[in-house]
Amino acid sequence: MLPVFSSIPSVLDHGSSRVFLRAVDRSKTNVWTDLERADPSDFFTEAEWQGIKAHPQPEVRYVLEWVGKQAACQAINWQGRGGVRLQDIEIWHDIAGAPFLRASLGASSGHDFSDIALSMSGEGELAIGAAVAFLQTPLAADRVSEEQILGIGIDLVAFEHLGSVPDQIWQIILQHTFTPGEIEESLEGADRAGQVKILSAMFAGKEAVFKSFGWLLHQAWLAGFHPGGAAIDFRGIEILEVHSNQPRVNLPGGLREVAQSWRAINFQIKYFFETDVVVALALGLGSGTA
Amino acid sequence: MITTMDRKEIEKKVIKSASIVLKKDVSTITEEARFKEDLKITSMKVVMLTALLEDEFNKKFPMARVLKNQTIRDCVDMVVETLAAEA
Repeated sequence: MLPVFSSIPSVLDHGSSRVFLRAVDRSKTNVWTDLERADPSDFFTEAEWQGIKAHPQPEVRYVLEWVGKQAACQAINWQGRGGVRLQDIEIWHDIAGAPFLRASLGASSGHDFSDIALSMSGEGELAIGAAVAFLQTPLAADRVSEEQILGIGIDLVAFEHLGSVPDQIWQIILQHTFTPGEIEESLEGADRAGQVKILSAMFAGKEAVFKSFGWLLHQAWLAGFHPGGAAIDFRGIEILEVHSNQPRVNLPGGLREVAQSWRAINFQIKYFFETDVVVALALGLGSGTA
Repeated sequence: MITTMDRKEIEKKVIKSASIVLKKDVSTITEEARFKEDLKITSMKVVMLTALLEDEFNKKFPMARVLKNQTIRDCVDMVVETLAAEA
């Protein structure tokens, strides 16, 4: 089978952690039709399947959960727990919308899988999931090593969204979504299409960081820690140097303090540019202090 | 204090903004319309709609609050509450 994305690896190592990525293109794989013919209990728990069927766009929900579970299963089994099947785990969403894993009722592993972070994103026919296994649950530890991944977020953005913004609202969207520094960098694009590509990458990066925050917040709740609601504004996450090997993530609006309270001090973005879309993978990295 | 008339005006502005972002005629968008199910809104479009509303009402709406909106009515309520809180 041809890879869905030419630029995206199936695994990505960072220090001692390994991120697993799984992508699906519904236009090429027809997975929904295949599933309808198959027994859904081979892939999903009963609760997940009911959720998929009740969703207004069941095929969209299906592929998102499928890529998330595929990536999560690989992460769990890589971690050495082996033998975990798709139907042994269940994706839940916390009140902030962040996905997390629970062992399904039928599983006998005894794991709660709180040490597996996952994130999913879909766009049209495309869906991508990413998962990482932690060596220890970050907020339960007295000390987390620097550069340890604490949270991940992934986002997929098609260039056509910003490319089709009407002229009448173009400046409003820019001013309310991007920082002056981001807008200035986007003007390095050779033309409007080039600017759209850069801004789309910045947007995907913001969403990916936002999602990794969601996971950190979920971890905080699990640890009984309530840092309070962060008023996350998209200009409070600034992404610069999107075409460099190490795009910069700045948190100019107070989010840095929130991140630090969750032991994350550094965010890294990895970009994968395709013909029509860009994928951003955000890694929230540890502070090394309790 | 937000009057009934004020709310109606806010509703018209929210629907106008949604129609621009979603490229739909204002007559096709009702207060009962659900963002995901009926309007097929994407996360990018949510951010665009928020940008237009912030510009229209000269207020900031945190993403955590914006993402709770499931219908146009929820969105109108968010604006009404924000304006009332800062009045």
